[in-house]
Amino acid sequence: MTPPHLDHPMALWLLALCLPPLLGWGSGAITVASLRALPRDGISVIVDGGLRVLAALPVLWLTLGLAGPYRPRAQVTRLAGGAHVIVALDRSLSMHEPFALRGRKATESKTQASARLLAAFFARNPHSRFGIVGFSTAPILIMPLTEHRAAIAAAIAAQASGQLGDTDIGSGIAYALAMFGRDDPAAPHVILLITDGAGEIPEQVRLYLAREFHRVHAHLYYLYLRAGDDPPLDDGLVNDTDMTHPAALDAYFRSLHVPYAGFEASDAGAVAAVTARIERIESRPLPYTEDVPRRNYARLCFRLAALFLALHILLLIAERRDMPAGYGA
Amino acid sequence: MNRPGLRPGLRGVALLPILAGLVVPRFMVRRPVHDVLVVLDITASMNTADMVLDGRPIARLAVEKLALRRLLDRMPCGSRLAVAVFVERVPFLLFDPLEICGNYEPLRREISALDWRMGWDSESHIAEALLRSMQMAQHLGTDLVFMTDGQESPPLWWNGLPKFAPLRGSVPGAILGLGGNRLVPIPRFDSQNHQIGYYRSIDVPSDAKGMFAGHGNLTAEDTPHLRQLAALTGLSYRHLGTPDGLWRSVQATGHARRLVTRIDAAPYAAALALGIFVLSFAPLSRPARGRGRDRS
Repeated sequence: MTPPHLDHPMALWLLALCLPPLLGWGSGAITVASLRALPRDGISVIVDGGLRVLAALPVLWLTLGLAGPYRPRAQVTRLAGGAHVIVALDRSLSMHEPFALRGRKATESKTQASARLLAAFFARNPHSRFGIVGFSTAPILIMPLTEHRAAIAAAIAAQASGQLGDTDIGSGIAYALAMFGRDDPAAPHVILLITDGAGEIPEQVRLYLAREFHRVHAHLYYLYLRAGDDPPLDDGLVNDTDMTHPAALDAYFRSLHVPYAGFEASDAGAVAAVTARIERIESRPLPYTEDVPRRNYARLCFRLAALFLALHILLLIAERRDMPAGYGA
Repeated sequence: MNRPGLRPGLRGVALLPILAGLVVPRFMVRRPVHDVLVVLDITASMNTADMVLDGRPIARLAVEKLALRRLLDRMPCGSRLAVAVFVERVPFLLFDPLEICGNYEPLRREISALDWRMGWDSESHIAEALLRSMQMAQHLGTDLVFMTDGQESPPLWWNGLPKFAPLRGSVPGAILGLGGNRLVPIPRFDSQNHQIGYYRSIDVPSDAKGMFAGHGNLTAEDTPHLRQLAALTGLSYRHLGTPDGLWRSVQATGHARRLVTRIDAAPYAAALALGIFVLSFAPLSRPARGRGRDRS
């Protein structure tokens, strides 16, 4: 066991206040004619010493309590399934369109749907670290990769409204990969792309993506917000070079030869499917830290002080102060 | 003579606060914390290094980031911070109000990552972005600090400003102006953040008005415009001269929320008990020798 930490170590100077009781000050002098009149008694000396120490104990424990002893908050590393997930979230103007499954009435925008799906996915992955990159014309770091879940929750909540600019998927993914370039290389890296469509990725960016995906060993999941009449992801008729089509983007991602899967968010189970994929990729458990809260010992000290003080008072009351006949002055 | 009852009595009094402190363990106090939405202008003109910090020139955006970092360090725990960036006419909310101490580490990294390259457009419609920022702060239930150099680009239309009247005075907070008071050129950067010269007059709209008339490619803090916006919105205007200014303006113009915190009474009670107990050892009741002898 490690010695406790102190909030106010300077309070220990108050330990000097143990001296008055230890030196027997104020113990109520008994008026006798002469000390020589009292026989020297070994037992009395020991008892007197014991009483003085007892009188000092309340001071000792009060002082220790005032110094604020505590066991600091500790972080225990545990192992669990989980990954480092960077969400590349489409925040472009097209996300303002209503999102509804085929044949149903839209009750939310694609932006709202994406935030809702992301929140669900976040809730299902309690041991994963998250980071969020928004992209429209340019990538925007919304929250860096962190294990602080409140920070991610606040970031997700802010993504349910507002849209801006064009769609540059390539730059969003490139930004996410750059974040992984500075991350622990041993952690499983996952990029979750959430977008309502597709877009042209310039040749130069494609080369960069191909190189970086393999360098940082990132997995890629493409969550396609397919509403009403949007084209399906598995459209075999599409010309692969037309990257504005989701099926072509899907084909391009396959050609990267990284662990990849594309999902249509219209499938009710898309979030579950991505979660299941992430659970499967964990080749080994990932260490994560759990807080062991700080524990204060001050109240324990005060309880001991009260105990010894009560004992001290009882002994004071029991004290016989009348002197045997003949010794009184 | 000896008064045996005094000392046990006084020490019994010392016992009372300890027990009281242990039995009635916590009392409530209210301390002020802040909930604030900070909106940062990240348009191109904010790259202009026409401010001075520690005797060296520094870019407006860098001062904004330092100020935000200072706010994170200074605000009391329990305060909540939301951050939005704006270009064009839209503030983009990065995250909802977030408690600062428990999330210090990701917030610090987020602030240091803020960059003009996050911008999705090159225009800056200050007044419209301010109006939407007020609506955002109202929706989030926070104070608002809006940091900008005030330079509208393109210049305002003839019909001028959006209608602030319905929102006027509804959001506490401030507009903080950044930038120098002399017209200087706006530096231009490439996507790798290397400076590649300055904006020329052919790069910007030519119908600049007010202090920028005929110099649309130059920049300074548009103080008259910001003062006018402050008057219309009910926000207060201040110049942000140093990074401390943001925290000072949150203190001065913000609406402090009273956070009820529990405070443990036991240490205060224990200190009182210690005082009484130690006092009881003062040689108060030691009878004077002479008197003792006289009485006998």
